[in-house]
Amino acid sequence: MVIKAKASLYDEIVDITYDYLGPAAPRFIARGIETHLSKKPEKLIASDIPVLLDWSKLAIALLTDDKQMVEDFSQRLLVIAERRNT
Amino acid sequence: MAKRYYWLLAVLVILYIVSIFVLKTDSATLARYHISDVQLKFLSLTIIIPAFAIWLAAFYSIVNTGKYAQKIKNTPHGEGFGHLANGVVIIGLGLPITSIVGRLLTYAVQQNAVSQAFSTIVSTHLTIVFYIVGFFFLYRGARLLAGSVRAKLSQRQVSGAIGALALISAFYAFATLSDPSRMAAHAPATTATYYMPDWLILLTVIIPYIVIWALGFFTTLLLATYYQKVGGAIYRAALVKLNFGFFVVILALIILQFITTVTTNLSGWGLSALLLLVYLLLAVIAIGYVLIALGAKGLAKLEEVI
Repeated sequence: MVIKAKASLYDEIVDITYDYLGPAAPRFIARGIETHLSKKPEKLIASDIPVLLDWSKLAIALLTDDKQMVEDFSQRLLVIAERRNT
Repeated sequence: MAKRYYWLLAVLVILYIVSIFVLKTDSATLARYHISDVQLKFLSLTIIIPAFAIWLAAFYSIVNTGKYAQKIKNTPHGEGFGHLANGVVIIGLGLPITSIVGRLLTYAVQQNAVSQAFSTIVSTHLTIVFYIVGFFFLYRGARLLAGSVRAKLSQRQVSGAIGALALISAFYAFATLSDPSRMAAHAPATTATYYMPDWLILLTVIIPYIVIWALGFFTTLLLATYYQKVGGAIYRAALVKLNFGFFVVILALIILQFITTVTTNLSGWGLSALLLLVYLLLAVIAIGYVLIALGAKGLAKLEEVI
């Protein structure tokens, strides 16, 4: 039987961000958590997601003109936030 | 770091301009193109303006790839990009350095300090050293990047590259070894192309250039494979500029190196056709360097935004 460890919230967010920022994703998210939430990435909890969402949406919008991509990214983060809160 | 490189560029540009006005012009060159010494000096200035544009583009690329490599040096992709940046530095610095050393050697020949053969042999091999070391770093960087995402070249890509390389190499070897002026000057050439026997040309010019082109071909293929395999829509948008820049610079340099071999035949084209070809290749290389710099800037932005 294969036992798969449950991915941390940080890992889940990095996985989603990878689809947009590729190998830069873990550094991007870690930087955001440390700067805007003043905590270590592994200490991220579900209630931090709204702040992270606001910041990352703005930051991604600085990197691309594709509004649909920004919207898609924030929707995916919202899904995680809702799932973690329930 | 940026300031240091731009200061170095300024010094190299001044050195080159001074060398144009200080050095005497070969009378045979003036006779061949039916122009005066002053006319040739001003003509040289029109050629060096696009040459300086390439140097500037190359240094812009050096600064930006260096900055990006520095930012990600402790990450899994850091080593690969570090090697790519080193390759850009070596090839970029090689452009002005080989030109200036070439001018100094011409001066030394005019002063009878060294022979024309010595000058030609040193110039030829100095260029090869810069290219072979620079292309090796590019290849190593591209291989590490492809390896970091477990991307491998397909059998078709490898066979295609080897086939293209074999074709171009055979033609290059034939063109080089059938150059009547390779060992000693034959009219209309006023100097020999290599001043070396065939076996030395084969070992120290033809084979190294084939190795350089092989490294160049495989670098572009590996970078394309890395692009296909790596994720991230925004990351890939910046990477595509960088990759296309490398593709353009590597291909244009290979064409330039190839054309340099058949310079004697090109002399028959006349000055305007030669200038046009030189301008075209210089413009393509400059565009390639700017694309590399823009790609690196785009990638660096992903590491900066907070």
